[in-house]
Amino acid sequence: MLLYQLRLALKSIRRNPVLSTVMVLGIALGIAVSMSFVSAYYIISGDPIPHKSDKLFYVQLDSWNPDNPFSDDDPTEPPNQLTYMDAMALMESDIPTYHTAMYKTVMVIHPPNDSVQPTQEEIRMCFSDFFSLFDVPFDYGGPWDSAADEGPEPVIVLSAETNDELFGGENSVGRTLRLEDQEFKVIGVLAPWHPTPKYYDPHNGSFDFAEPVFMPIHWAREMQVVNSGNTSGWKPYDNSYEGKLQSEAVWVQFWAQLDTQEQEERYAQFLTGYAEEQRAAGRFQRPNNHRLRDVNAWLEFWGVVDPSQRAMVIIALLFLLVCAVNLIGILLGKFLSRASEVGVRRALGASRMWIFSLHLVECALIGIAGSVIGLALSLAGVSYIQRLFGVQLDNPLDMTMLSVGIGLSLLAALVAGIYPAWRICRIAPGMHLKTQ
Amino acid sequence: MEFGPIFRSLFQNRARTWLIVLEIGLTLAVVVNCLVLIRDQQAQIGRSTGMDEQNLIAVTSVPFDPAFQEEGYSVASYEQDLREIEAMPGVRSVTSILQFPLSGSGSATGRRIAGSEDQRTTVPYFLMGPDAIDTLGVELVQGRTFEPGDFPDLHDDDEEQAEEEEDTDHVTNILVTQYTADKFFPDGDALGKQIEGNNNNVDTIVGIVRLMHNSWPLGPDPENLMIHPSHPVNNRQTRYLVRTEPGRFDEVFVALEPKLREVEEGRIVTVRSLSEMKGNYYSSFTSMNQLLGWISVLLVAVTGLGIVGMTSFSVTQRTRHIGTRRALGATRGDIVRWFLVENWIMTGIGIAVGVALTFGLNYMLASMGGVPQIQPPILLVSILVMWLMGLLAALIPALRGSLVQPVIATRSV
Repeated sequence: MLLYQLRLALKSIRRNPVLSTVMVLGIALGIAVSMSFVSAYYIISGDPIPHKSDKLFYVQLDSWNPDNPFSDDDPTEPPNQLTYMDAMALMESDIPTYHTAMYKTVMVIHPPNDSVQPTQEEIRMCFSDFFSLFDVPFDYGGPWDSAADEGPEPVIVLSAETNDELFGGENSVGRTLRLEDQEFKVIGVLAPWHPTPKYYDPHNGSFDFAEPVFMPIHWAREMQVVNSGNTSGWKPYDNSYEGKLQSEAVWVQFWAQLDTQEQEERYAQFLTGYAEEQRAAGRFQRPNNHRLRDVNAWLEFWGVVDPSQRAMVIIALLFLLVCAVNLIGILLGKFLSRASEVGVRRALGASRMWIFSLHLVECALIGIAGSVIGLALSLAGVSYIQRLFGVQLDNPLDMTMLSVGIGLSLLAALVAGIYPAWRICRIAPGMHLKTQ
Repeated sequence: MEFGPIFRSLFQNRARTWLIVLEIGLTLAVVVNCLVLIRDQQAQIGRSTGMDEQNLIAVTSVPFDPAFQEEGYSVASYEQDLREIEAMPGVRSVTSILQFPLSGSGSATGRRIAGSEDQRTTVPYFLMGPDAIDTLGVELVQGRTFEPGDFPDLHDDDEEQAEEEEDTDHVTNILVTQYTADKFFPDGDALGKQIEGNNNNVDTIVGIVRLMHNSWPLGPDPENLMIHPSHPVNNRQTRYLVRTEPGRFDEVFVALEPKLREVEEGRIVTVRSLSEMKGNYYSSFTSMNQLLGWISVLLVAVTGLGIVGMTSFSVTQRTRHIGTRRALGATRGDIVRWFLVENWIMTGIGIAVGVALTFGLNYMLASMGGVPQIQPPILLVSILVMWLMGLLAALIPALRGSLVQPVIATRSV
């Protein structure tokens, strides 16, 4: 029975090859456009580290100018980064499970192969906890330990891309690399890692790639390298390198992992205590005002998702709607143009149900063809969007999105087919026989 | 032409009519809103930056040779770079600069009218060397450009220049844009007036530039800018801005890196055009416009093909009807006209519905903060395109329908 219906449906699809192609391509396009936009949006607005985003906190303290608030837009908001002094003082706490102060800088890298010109690359200066805190995946080796933080020992971690470029992708743990005038030993190589958005430091490009090299933070002081990211200041300071470290300028980011409610409360108390201590010493002349924002609150505060991106998603969904309306229209026309044939079948004893399901089978076939082509196009669409916006995603289309896509196109085709199929199955057998 | 029967036949087949109307309406709404967005973003990219951007080249020099750490070496190399670049054929002028305009990365600091108790407002600034105005190609409307006496002594103070706050108590002669001048002195008498930052560093406005963009053209006030005379050189990085003679951009662009390496080997030299930096800064706009453009084209294509499909089935369905009319004396032209008029009516209703949907969608998107208002010319052009598209799409099946022979009327299927 179903086989017979399938054969009939295939025959009907083949009878109008051009229109069938239009239908299939229409639904495929609708699926592709809406899927690639929704998945792109889902990724940029989604939680970059779902399993622990509510345990990772971005720390802010109000060390700012007593006369002016940090932000004109929101006077209650503390500075968005810390001073070097405060960040180092917070590192003394043993409350967080992991914590790290960090910032971005640039250094000259001398490739191991002398014939290649040196390049200037971004470096993330951080503590060893950085890697455990953000669950950074390693291909070779691992992070440095906390003893290496203090030394500091001359060790670095490379990103997968940098390792490909400098060492042809082989295990480079133990090899040396010269940065500026200092030799460093490679201690770990990351697996491809593209936190999107770059939530640990959205100050300097929310969709920038992670840095190519990670280095124990105290090397900056040894090598007298200043940060390259955003710096804000209010109080003049001595122009020397140490002067900047001792200044009230804010340029250091700070993250802490607090696993339990109790840890969170103790840490908040610790921050208040620290602010009071500093106030007694003549700093922190503004009211107590620290912030502990978890990953999602932090991203929301930064407004990483642009309203125009939401507009794009609505436009993409409307695109799918137009494709569906288009499909209903063509199916309706097609089915109704076969009224006489259906009349004959009805007269020969086919039930309404049979006619209805015959036509739905045809819709399902179109839906399947549409979803297969649509998914292929979605993959192309997502990679096009990635290339266009210079974003790299570790997992652009996951299984959920795939099954949603297949489900959606089948559903679209079936829903689109219901009305036309219902119209055609209600044809009275007599009418069309009479007029012939 | 008989409109009555056409109308009646249209509404006999209500579902099909309304589907076409809805499809045209939705398509118009989406396309117009996409075009409005594209147009708005293109206008922002295309507006004047005040500079001779086509002929500007941004050069960054990052030394790695330890020699640069020696006292006075960076400064000597800086002075030599400026001399050598200036002497290159095709170069009109060159200056040094701390952070590049239109790049998305720059510096800003607080300023208020000198001696006042106002809150300081943020003013983006550039630290630039001699020849700044001629190199940028901006127009000076009042006052003068920098003179040698405005600059700090290069050999006296060759350690790191202040990047954040200038901490000395001296008065600096600066240039500001008309926008910034008017912001502090709305009466138009900014020339010669003073503004101050923290710790009593005071700036005297000695010249006003008509228009120039700062490092953040997409920020709230792109023309807010002051230019401080400086020699932004240090032992980690030095940047130059080069303006070429018209038509000699390419020649200078390729010659710059080899030239600078010839002057001093131990450094990384990066050469980029200002247009490229601007393109990068606006790249999310350009990318989004591409996507919106594709969506619009695909949508019109899907709708057009849909109309072809729906009309051809309605022609097939009415084969006998056409045959009868032909037998009764209707010409081929009559038949074509019949289908076209039918389509006009549907497209017309679709467009009317579409205009309402366009404004509805615009209102919704605007309330989310993403879309500017609809400009009538865009709406009119889109309506025209939709109408022509509807007509063309109906023409193909209509012509096929007109080929039906009158004899069909008397033959049974």
